[in-house]
Amino acid sequence: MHDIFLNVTNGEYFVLLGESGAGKTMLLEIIAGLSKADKGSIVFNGQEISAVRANKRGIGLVFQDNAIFPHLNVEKNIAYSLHGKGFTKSEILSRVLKWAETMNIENLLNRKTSGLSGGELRRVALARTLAMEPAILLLDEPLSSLDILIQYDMIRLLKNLNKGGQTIIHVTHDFNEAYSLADTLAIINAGTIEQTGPPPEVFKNPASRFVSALAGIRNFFTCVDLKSNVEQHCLLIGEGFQLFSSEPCPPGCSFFIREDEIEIQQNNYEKGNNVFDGVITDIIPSPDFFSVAVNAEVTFCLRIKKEDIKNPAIYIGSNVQIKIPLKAIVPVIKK
Amino acid sequence: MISNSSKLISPFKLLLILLGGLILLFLIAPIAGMFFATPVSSIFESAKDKEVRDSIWLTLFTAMGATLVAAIGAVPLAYILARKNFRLKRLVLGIIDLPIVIPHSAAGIAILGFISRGTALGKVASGFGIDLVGHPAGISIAMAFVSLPFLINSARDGFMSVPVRLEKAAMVLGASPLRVFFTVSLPLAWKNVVSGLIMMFARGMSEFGAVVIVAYHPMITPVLIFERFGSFGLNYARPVAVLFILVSLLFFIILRLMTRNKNA
Repeated sequence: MHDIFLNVTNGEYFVLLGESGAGKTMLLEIIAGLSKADKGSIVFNGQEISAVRANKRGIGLVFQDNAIFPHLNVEKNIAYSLHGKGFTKSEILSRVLKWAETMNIENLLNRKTSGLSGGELRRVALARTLAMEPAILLLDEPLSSLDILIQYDMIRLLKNLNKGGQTIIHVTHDFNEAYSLADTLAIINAGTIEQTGPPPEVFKNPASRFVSALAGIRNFFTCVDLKSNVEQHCLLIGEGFQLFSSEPCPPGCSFFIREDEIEIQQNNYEKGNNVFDGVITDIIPSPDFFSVAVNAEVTFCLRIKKEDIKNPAIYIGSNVQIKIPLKAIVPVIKK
Repeated sequence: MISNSSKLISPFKLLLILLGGLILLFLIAPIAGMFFATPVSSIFESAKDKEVRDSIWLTLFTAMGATLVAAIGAVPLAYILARKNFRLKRLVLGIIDLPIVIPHSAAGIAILGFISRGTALGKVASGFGIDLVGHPAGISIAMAFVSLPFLINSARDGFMSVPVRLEKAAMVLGASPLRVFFTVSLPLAWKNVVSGLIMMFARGMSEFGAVVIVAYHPMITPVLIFERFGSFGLNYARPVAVLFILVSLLFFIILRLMTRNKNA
C-alpha cells in the first residue's frame, strides 16, 4: 500500500471501500496500533500517535470475526475494557447494561458466548468496544456474515451511533452499504486510494474505471484523442472508434455512458453519428430490466425493458444497431 | 447386493485390536504381576516403616518444589516460544528437548558439576549454609532438569492454540501486555499448562539416574527401592515399589480430577 492519505473529522462517518484483500484490514490495524506502517504518520487531535501503544490509543476496533473471548460470558466480555480504570463494581455493571441495551442484547448478559448466533456475537463485539467509549470506532466489514434482515438492523444501529456523535471508520467491499452509511467515501484499489468524497459525488464523477465499476457503471472509457468544432466534439476511444459528444472531454480524461439511455434497434435501421452495428453477446436478467452487452468493436452495456425481451430480434448472437444519444455521454470532471 | 457388515468387524480392525491389546498387556502385565506377587501385609508394613514414609514425602515434596519453582520461568519461556520467531529458535527448541535424550546418569554428572561447592551456584548456596549436593534442593534441581521439557512443550502448545487475534483484541480494549497474558493467554492455554505441570511433576517424581548421582542421600523412593533391591533382594524392594506406585497413582488421579472440574 502506498500514498494513503485519510482525513477524518470528528463525528464523521468515514467509509473505506475496496475489494477483499486490498489492505483495508491492515489499514485499520495500523490506525488502532496493532501494526506499524513502514512510512508515514498518524495524527489524532493534532498529536502524532504512531508511537503510542495500541492499549493507550483509545481507538476501538471491531474485528471481522468478532474476536469474542470464549472463556468469558457476555457480561464479562463487555466489561473487559472497564477493569483497572477505577470504576466501582456497580459503575461497571451500569455501563455494561447501558451498552447491552443499546445493542439489544441485555437478555444475553449471563449467557456463554459459545451458543450465540453470528448477529448476536457481532453485537456483543460492538457493545464490548463501545463500552470503552472510544474516540474513534473502527469497523472491519461489520455487516459480513450477517443475515440480510439483521444487516438492515445493523445499518440503522450504526447510523444511530454516528448520529449520537460517534466517529466511525467503516471498512467494506459493498458499494450499497457504503453509500447508505458514509458521509465520506474513500475508495482503495491496488494499494492506493483512488478517490475520496461524499458518496453522491463519487457516484456522479467516478475517477477511474475501478470506481465506476464499484458504482455499477460499466460503460467507462478514457478519451484517446479529441477533435472539436463549434457544434460538437468527436472523441476517440481505442482503435479509431469515434463518438460524438456535446461536452468536451480532453485526451486522457474519462467519461461514461448511461446504460439506460442507449437505444437498441434492428439492424440497418438508420445511419448517423453515434449509431453502430453490433452483435449481442450477453443477456443478463435483473429484477427490473435486462442487461444486454453489445459488441460493436467496443462492448457497450445497455438496458432493455422486461417486455422488450420478447422481441424476436433480441437474442444472443443477433445483429443489432445501437444508438448513443449525446445526453447519454457524461464526462468525468477531474478535480 | 449391499451386505450388512455393520455387525462384523473387519479383519483390519481385528488386527489393530490385537496389536494394541498386546502393547497394553505389555504395559499392564509386569505391574499387575508385581501387585499380585506382593502380600497385602507387607505393603502395610512398608507403610509403617518410617524410612519409607519419609522417602515418599521427600519425593513428593522435592518434585512439587521443582515443578512450582521451575514453572515461574518455564511458563513465560513457553509463551515467548509460542509467540516470537527468531533466528536461533530451532536451536532453542532442540536445547529444550536435550534432557530427554541425554542419559540420566550423564545428566546427573553434569548437574553435579554445576551445583557443587566450587561453582557459582554452589557458592550462593554456601552463603545460605547449604551444600546442594546431598540436599533436597539439589534433588529438586536434578528433577527439574530432566522434567522441564514436558512442561515447556505442553505449555507452548497451549499458548500456540490461543489465537493471536484475541490478544490483539484485548490490547485494543486497553489491556497492558501483562494483563493480556493473565486474562486472555494463560486462561485459554490453562488446560495445556496444567497438563504440562502434572507431567513435569510425574516425571520428576519418577527420576532415578540423575538424582542418585546428585544426592544418594536423602533417599527419594526410586533410590530407596534400588537400595533395598541391591541390599536385600526382590521381596524386600517390592512392597515399597507397590506402595509408591499406589501413592503416585492416587496423586495423579486426584490432580486430573481437580483440573477436569475446573474446565467443566
